[in-house]
Amino acid sequence: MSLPLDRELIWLGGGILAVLVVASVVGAVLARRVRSESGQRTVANLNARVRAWWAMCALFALALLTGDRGSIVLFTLVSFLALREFMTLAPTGAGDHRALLWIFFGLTPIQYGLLWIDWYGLFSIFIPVYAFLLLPVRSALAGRTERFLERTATIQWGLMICVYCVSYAPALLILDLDGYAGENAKLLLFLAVVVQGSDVLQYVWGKLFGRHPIAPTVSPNKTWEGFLGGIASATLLGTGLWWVTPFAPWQAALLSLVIALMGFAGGLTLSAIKRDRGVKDFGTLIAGHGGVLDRIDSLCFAAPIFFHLTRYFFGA
Amino acid sequence: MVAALDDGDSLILFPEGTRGGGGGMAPFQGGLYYLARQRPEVALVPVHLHNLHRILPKGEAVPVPLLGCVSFGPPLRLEAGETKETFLERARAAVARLEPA
Repeated sequence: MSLPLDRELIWLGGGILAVLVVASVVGAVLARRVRSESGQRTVANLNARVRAWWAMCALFALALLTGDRGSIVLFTLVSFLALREFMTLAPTGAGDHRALLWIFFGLTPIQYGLLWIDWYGLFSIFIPVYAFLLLPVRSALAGRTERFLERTATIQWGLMICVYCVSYAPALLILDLDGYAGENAKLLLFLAVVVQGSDVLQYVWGKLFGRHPIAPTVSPNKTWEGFLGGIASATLLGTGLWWVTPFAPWQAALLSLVIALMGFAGGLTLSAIKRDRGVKDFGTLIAGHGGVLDRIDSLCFAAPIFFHLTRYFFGA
Repeated sequence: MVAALDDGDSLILFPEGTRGGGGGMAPFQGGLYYLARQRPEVALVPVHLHNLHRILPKGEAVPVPLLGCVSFGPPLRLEAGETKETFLERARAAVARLEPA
């Protein structure tokens, strides 16, 4: 697949562009209207988020337009940046330096390289089998046994979340589906729109109607109102996009529901990690959002499940 | 070093004299004091480098690309009549204060 431009993709891209324009206009109007100090802060953060969305969408569009290879490179960089943020907070120790070097400069490029050469079999087991068995050996060879189990588990989790899980998003590009050859870029876009749309919709519902926190000790911003409204509207959003996918509308609805629920689970779980490490965000790279890992926490959990469900039920 | 200062250049000093293992800051070496005594008008800016012992531990050749943090504090100067020990301890405390929580 070279330039994956078709009519449906143009419609979807146009729709995303329209949403961005509307969000920018709403943000500009709110910036004039809102007077209270806390309201001003919320609007300033909202506008920073919208500006970052423009940049992220532009980057993603650029990657999709350069074909599968461009997307693989983009997600390799995303994994790399997320891994940086994760390992910076993770309590690794002196004996883990070589293992970390392997992760950053060896295992991450190999995982995405397997997508590049279209070797699905090894791609799907490379990290859970080979990396998970060999990394602790490297740390053990370094001879430091203090907190060994904690350090090993931490490193493996970072690799799992930031690399293995994220790599399932571009893996959608090499998935063989019945009657969908050459159109896989739209499946990746579908996942991205539903999972990120769900994040945004949960945020909007939560800001407007949020009263009852779901897990106040983990994330005070996640409320039942935001959860239910966000998941329901994201499911509707995904259902309305069935025409870009190989799914029937009811199948698109179920898969969107799964994507939205997994996305919520990802956000909640990574919030628990942030709480444990005593930080609010994983980083500061994306203005208004925090770090890369703050933006992709929901994608991490949604991508592998969406991939495997699609592969099991629709694979050629 | 004094000549470089007199030429208008800035100097970067590592007053611990070595890289640490992450177990806290080592005592400061005396060079900082002797330099400050010769040029007391020079502003000494405390700088704290966070996470460096993890990015590149002692004895390793390739750094891991973790996030670091560089924090700058308000400049200090050697005060009239300040002893070497008091000054070095004060300078060390000024750097230690910059460590992120």
